[in-house]
Amino acid sequence: MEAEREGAELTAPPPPAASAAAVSVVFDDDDLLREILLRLGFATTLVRVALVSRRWLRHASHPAFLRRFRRLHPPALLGFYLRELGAWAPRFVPVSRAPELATAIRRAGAAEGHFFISDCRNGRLLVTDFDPTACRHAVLSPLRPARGKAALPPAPKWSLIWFFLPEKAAGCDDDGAVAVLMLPLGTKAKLQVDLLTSGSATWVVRRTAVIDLPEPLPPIAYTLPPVEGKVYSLTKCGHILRLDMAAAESCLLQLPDRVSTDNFTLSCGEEGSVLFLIHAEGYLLSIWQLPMTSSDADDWAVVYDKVPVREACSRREDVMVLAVDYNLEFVFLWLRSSAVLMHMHLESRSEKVYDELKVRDGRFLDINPFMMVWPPVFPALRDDDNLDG
Amino acid sequence: MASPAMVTLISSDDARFEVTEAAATMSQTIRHMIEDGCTDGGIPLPNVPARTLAKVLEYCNKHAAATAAESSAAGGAAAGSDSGSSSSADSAGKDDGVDLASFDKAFVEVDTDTLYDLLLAANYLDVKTLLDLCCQKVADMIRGKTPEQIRQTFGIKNDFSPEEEEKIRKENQWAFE
Repeated sequence: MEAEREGAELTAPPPPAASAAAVSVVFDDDDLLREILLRLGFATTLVRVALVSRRWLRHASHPAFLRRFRRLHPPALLGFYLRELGAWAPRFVPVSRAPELATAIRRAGAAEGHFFISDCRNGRLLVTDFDPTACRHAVLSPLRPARGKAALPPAPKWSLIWFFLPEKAAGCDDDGAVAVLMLPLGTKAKLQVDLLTSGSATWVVRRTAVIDLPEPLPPIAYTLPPVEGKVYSLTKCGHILRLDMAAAESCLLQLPDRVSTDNFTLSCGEEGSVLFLIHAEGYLLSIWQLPMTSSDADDWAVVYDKVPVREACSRREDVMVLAVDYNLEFVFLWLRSSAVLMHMHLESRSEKVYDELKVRDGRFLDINPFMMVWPPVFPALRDDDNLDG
Repeated sequence: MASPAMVTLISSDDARFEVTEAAATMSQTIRHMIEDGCTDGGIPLPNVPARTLAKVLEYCNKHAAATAAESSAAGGAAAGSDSGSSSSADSAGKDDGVDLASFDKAFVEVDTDTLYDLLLAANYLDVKTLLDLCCQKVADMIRGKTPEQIRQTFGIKNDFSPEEEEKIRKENQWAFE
């Protein structure tokens, strides 16, 4: 299999100019430079590298490049905020060990205050202060400490209202929030749904729809962040209420057949095109997805089927599903008998048990997975137009 | 067993290499030349010196052999009748994967000049997996460096004003200490 070699060229040193030039040939080639930058792996590294020169910045900040980078390297889970029932403040538990993320993790751990977290998205936290004088909502950006804490206007006093950080396309500014408000109308099987965004002094109704319901509005356990005018709520009877504001339609979705307990959680995922249902039965995890365009419970498709949680299996106990991150990479679980928190990384099936955390009761845990920011913000620089090409 | 089809490659400095067609056609550039029938008297590669071509072919030989072993193992497992055979073929396949990964890792443990030569050759010859491997290695070298260290290493001039540099840092505080 050895390559046949003829001539004495191999022993002669290569002409020195050839190799010295290779560096600049590689880095002067736009395609090759892009391919190299694409493999840097972390947004933090990409930002540092963008500071090398205008040309490198231009490549690193190109929208098509950023889309490829995002596909190859989804934002990493830095860790999670954990709050027990009765605690005044959440604590941050790191998950990633990448040295590239060490600074971000340190910052995430430095977020201080007496609050609970109601949503966590793209490096920001939507928090509610434990202040008896006023129930104040605010947005925190632990990774950008200079931004401080952005207080939101006083919340409308309605009972059926849920607050979220905006999805990326919502078009409100970085320090804002959105809310879903449900107002049952006189006839009871009619519902007015309002989508609000936080303005500087008040909440502003951005969109409203009056929707006929299949039955009078059932009690709601929780509501997911709205995605493109679609709102999913879990009812206390174990159905999913789907409200489509654009079509002014609603439906009550059945859960997949095998889901017969309330040991599951719902998530819209980062892309927001499907609804995920993460269910545990004994020590087995199963995950279904339903396209957001579907209102038919027959469309539930299994993504992960009966994945054994090894730790639970070896301890001969059951798990309870607590939370999942937006990328659907990590599932947070509670080992019922041992009373210990753990997570599973779905793709690699690797598990981590948090014995050291000493959590009292998994049923009353608030867990908010906290991801790395995406995308980096590259300011437009003067003369950039002239440099294109 | 029939002997495999061979082709002759000629480096920029006129060294001749005889390799299997399976190894040579890992290069899309060479594959197209063979498909076009330009193989008589050897395939000239005027952009690749012998020293670099020898390394590239070492990579192609290894990967082509692994691919061949994998497909014959898969064929054997499919033909196997007892339940034990498929699991043993499975583990053999996994070992190959580990072996190939460690080969790749060692393969790019070279001085930087050689790495750049390899990267340029992989690009010219269009050997996708080798180009990926070299780009990843260069990216890994960049990863731990500060912007200033990167400029020094690659001889790049800083053409930002201090204000512009500060602006980028400020917008992305999370990336800096």
